[in-house]
Amino acid sequence: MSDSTGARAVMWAYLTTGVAIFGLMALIGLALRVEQAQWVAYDPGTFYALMTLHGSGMVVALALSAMGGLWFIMNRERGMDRTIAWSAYAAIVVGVLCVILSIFPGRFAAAWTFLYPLPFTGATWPSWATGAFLFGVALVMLGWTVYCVQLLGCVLAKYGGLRGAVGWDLVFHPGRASTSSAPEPPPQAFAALVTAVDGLFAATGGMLVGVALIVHWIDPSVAIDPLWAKNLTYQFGHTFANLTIYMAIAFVYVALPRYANRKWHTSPVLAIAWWGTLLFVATAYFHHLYMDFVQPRGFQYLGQVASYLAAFPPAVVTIFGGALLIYRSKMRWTMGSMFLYAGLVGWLIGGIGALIDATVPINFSLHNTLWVPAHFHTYLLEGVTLFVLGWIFANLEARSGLVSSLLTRWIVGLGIFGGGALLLLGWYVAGAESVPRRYAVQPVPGPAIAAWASIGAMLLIAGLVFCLAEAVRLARAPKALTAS
Amino acid sequence: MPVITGEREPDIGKHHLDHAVLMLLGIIAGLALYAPRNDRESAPWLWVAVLSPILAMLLMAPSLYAATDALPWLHSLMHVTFALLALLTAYGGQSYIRGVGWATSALLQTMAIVAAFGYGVAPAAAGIASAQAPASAPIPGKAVHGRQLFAQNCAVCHGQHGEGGVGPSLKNEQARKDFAEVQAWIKKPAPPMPTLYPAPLNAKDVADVAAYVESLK
Repeated sequence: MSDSTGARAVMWAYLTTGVAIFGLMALIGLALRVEQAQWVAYDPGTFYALMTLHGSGMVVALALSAMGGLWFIMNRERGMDRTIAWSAYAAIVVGVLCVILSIFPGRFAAAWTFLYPLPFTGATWPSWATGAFLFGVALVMLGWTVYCVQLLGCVLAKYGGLRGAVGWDLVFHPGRASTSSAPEPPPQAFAALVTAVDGLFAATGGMLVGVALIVHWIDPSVAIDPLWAKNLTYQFGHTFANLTIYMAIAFVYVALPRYANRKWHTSPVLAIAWWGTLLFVATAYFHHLYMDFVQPRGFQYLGQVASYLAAFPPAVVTIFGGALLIYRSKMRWTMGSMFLYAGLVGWLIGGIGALIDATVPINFSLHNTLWVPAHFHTYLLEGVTLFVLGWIFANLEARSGLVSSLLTRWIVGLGIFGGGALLLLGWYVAGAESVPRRYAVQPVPGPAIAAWASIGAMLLIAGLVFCLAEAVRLARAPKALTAS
Repeated sequence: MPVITGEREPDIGKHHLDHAVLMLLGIIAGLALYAPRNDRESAPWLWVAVLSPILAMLLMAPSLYAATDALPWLHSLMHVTFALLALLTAYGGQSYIRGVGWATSALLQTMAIVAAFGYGVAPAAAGIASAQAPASAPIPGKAVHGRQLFAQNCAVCHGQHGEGGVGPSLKNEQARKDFAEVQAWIKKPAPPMPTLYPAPLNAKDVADVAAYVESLK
């Protein structure tokens, strides 16, 4: 197997596994929403077990997909050991299987960002299910850590250490940068560096709280500070979920310029923007603890400031930059470019929702309402998912030399964008109406809103099915003569 | 010196920081020992660098201290192991690809320091409760442990000082239930009180919590 073929095998394994898990989790998500719409009824224990699976499964699905694409992109910069990538993949897949086992048949139902003393106190599931879930998540984290270490090694070795990888000389010593033997990092390398560094930072917290919880599961006499555990849970969970966006941004940097027939340049502004992202992604998670009165006040301020500042680098460099890239260009609108551009729009909208909720006085009203799922579903569904779909179609179009018809794009777009908008609007409206999140039985007007949001979810899934069919069509087409 | 001899400090958090110092020494040694190599990936060293911190955190489990209390030499051996694992974390990372060892070392050192604030350490609420609790008769020995368990498992509903909240007030509970009755209630509560026995509270824990509850005035 050639290096290129082997690398593609790694990428497609990550992508197809991620997409498969995503599809299953989408159906589970629909089941949750129709239950809240009171169209079907099942016991709350089942609801929370499904909610646990949906949340943890979706984040891992999107992370896997983004990891595969980013690995392939950086492997083209500097060849990486495929066995390491396969090892990380195997650890994550086995971890996912352990999590599924804990829920079916274990009926573990504590959600994936459970707060200690959950999942030990008041558990309606057996202890082995708790252990299976914790070990499953630990394996996923292990795979993630291995992936991040490999990615970090790649950028350090390729671009001349940390100084070269962050573009330090590009910003402060342009003369030295132009004569350096190390190549200038392209935009996607900054995404890889931030993923690796902040990913390892997230893994630090995740490993520590994970080990503590596993030890407590084995020996309940081992005490854990609940506030400490909550901080580490969100330090890991928020950062990990957030990084799925930044991994997928590499797809935009690589593929969108091909459609616009322009180059996305590295510049001092881009480098400084990613420095900001490196810092703010690591510190924004404190906004999950605004309502914890025992949290040190300084952390609250840090979370507020970091959450606001986190918006600037993406808005200025990637979103605005992406818009300017295609402005007055000979842009080719295909399924791939449609998804990549729409993902930028979804990211922008989700970011506005996030900024609103991350404002402390507003968080008093929106905390733990459906506004929270509204903003992160916008990021993940109409941001990361679209970037992943865009990358998949960009590769399939390049390989086959074919593009989708306008009719196909309209059908898929109506489903994914129209249905998605209806689904997301349901959460935003419900959140503004103070409908709480994570409730199997919602107070009025939750069920009525959930009803029309469920229609949106069905349209979205229909759009995804059409999309899948189109992807299969392109994948089965013969390879184009000009394809690499 | 407790750090070297393995004599355990009563403060688990401080002892975690002692471990962090040992690990820092191991990291320095690992980074110093590293010999420059070509920047080609070495998969085995990657796994050494990733698994060593995890193993160190597992060995830092506070419940292992009870096993080593009677054998100080074993505790000292654990300390040597921590330093060795830290050395492997640093050396392994650098051997994988030059520069990575600094990242894996930072990962391990951060975990070791942060562990001091919550891994096996009684929650801060217990400290606040003891600072703010009114002066009262001395609490029986087992009720001290019971207060810690109460803070972890019961205070969320019954309040930090048993003053009530979602759950009823437990002040002067000894007027309503005797020691045996409180234990029986904890073991078989009526909804919506959750079941805490046999996990996370074992029989001894239940007795300690009951002793603390009986002491509330």
